[in-house]
Amino acid sequence: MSDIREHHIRTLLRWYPRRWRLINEEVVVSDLLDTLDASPHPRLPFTERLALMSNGLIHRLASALPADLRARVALNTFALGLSFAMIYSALHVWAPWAPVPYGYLPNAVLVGVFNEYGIFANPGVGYVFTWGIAGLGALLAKPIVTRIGLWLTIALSIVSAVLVSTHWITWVGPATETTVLMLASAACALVGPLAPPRRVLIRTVVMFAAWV
Amino acid sequence: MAHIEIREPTFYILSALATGPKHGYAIVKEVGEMSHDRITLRVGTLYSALERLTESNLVRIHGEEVVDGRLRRYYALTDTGAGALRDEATKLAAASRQAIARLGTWTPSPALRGAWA
Repeated sequence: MSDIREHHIRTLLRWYPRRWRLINEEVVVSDLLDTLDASPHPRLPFTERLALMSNGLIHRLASALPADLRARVALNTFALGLSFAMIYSALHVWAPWAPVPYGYLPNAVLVGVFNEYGIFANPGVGYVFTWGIAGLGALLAKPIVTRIGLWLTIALSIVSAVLVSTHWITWVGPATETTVLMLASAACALVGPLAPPRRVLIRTVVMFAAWV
Repeated sequence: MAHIEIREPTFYILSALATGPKHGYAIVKEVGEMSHDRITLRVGTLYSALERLTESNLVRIHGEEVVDGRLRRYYALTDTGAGALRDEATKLAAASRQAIARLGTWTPSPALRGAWA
């Protein structure tokens, strides 16, 4: 039993670079086994696994990029993605604002589009929720919430990209450019620790104004 | 020494080490107890924080030992870390005193008076 748990933990720690593992792996494995001993569950909680994966990726990036550069990239791409999601939701997804945007498509394609997503014009509304979670986490200084929101954005972008490629004729969701922007900004926002809430807010407002 | 912002989890990590050197899991447990389980430190996050704190000379590695086949690495507060923690605690205490003093002059709205009585 202990071997299975240890194997599971060591597999997760492969997200970290080899150099880091040489120094820290045994200590972290011991602490995680203690955590599991005290828990009624046989596996690490999702948030612990997420923390290991994202911290592992950050450590891998850290060996390639200096910390201050990563922090700047994280702040700017986070503000870029969040502000774009706000603009996108207000001008493109929020159906009552849309002045019959899909008139050039055959009517058969449009049947049920508005009904399927209620007041929203297309399934891109998902980005509003994922970036909303990330934004809330940033404003409340809860990094784990922010990371969950960013990982959800990445997952949604991947699903969206798959749907675009398989249903490209009838697809009324986010355009490829939107998907790429959302995926890239969420991934880049994960490269470093996010700035304090005030700085995130100011940078997002500046980006929002720039988009407008 | 690099400047480090003391956010709430960092504050609790430094507070946990204020009573003496501790290993990772002991810090996680103590932070949970001190914050009444409001803050659940993840081990992955804890080690990232400890690395930053070590780089900033607020915390140092105190030593390692094997206990029941598990490797323990103990971390201790440095003098700089103790000073930073004292400054932050003083700042928070002053802010709390000010908020409580101001609440002393606050009059609840009529709707709340009954509930507060």
